[in-house]
Amino acid sequence: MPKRIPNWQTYVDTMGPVVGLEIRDEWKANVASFLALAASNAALYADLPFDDATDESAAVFRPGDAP
Amino acid sequence: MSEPHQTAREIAAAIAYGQITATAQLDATLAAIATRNPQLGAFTDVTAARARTRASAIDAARDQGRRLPPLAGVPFAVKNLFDVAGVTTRAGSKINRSNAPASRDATAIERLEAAGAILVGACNMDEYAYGFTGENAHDGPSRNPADTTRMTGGSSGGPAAAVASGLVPFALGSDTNGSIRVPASLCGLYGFKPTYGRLSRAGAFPFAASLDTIGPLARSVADLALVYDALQGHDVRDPVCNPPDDAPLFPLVNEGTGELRLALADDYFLKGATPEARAALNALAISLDITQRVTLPEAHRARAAAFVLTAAEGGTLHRERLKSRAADFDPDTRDRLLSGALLPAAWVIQAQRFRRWFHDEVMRVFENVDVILALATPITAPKLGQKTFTFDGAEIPVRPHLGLYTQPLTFIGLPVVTVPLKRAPGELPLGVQIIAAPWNELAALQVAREIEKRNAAS
Repeated sequence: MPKRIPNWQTYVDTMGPVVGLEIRDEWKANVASFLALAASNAALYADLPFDDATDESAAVFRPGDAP
Repeated sequence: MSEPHQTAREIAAAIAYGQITATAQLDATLAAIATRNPQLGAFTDVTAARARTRASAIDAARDQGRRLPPLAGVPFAVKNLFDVAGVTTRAGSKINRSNAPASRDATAIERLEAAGAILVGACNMDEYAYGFTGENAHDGPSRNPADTTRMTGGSSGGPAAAVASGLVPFALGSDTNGSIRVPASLCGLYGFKPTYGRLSRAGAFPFAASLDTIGPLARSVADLALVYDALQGHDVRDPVCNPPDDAPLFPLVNEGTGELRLALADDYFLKGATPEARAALNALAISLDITQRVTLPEAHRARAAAFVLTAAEGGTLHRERLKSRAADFDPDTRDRLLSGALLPAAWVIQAQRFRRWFHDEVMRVFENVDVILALATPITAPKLGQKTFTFDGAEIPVRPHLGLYTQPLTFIGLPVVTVPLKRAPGELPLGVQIIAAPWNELAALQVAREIEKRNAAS
């Protein structure tokens, strides 16, 4: 089944108010284009399999820690 | 009278030996800024009164026969995201100009002035550090001293213009994704982004906190080391600043590369580079007898994850300003930050998980090499206002992509020194990154010094 391409303009319309941001109509196309760019970047790593123990979300990132 | 383009070491020595007073040095610096800054767009604030007070104190100390600190009388500048007591911290924005003046200097400025250096002003930058061009919608662009129709690179563009033009011997910048290394490359300077967590960021306006670092731009490796030594040390004001040591490196940078194992980064770090950039890098590799090539695995994904993390952290940082004063941002900055504030959490947390994976893979590479060399930018300085450049056969936007080669390295906090590559007369500057393992700044500086010596000799 082909992958569905998100409608980023619709996403902006929906998520802007959710996070309390008023995004003017004339800004939306550019915001949507940056979301599309971010999506293309996220697609490069978002589905990589990681061990469940791999979680940095609460850590202070510190380079040089032992692997 | 001081000579233009003197290094910090030379200025400090001239003052210590009484060849010039700190006040005379300062007068010459301020006069040069007044004359040349309108063309360069380097400075946004000049702190002349404060600087005169400090210069007088240094001259008095010398007259009294007191021992002067290592940077006594050396003028320097900072990117205008550093707090300067009594000055409003712009961070390249219009919005922050509504804030009260800073009540205290950034830690980095306190430490440099404790070492005798004299702050002369704050410098232009991309708004909120979110860009690689050195252009600013509110203050105008900083201009590349090698060709003032071209970009300095950013976001530490003003500091780079100030140093490359000889107005000051060194300046402080910040580097989240390449904001010291890109302008160093395009302006022909030495730039130093130490390990994440090495130097205090207290009093520096943040951008993406899990990536932000600070460091110097200068015209010699020795100056980078002198400034770095003055900046070192734990700081309770920055919870990330917790270095494992703070031994001075200046006495060691000239000791040669000894047994250091050097390698050239291939794959991602050569892809898309112009033929002239590749040729300059190959010439350097030959001169250093580098035969080993290494691959930093999945560097393109690391760059992608850094891109998303930056957008999300920046968008979250600025959310209140986006709610209350969105129209006062540079439109390009605003729209990128708005998109960052809307990103799904899953992309952000997965990026952090990938960061740990990438870090561990690169640490395995460092088991077999000590220092890795890679181009700092794929191209030389674009024209001011240029929106795209050709990369690997495609036209891509300049503003988010000049840091393609720098971004994967900041992603995992590695220390990197940018060094100018040897260029033929008339060719624009271009830099190489000297990359070391976390906390091994000395190795990067020693290799940088070796390249500096070879460039000077040939």
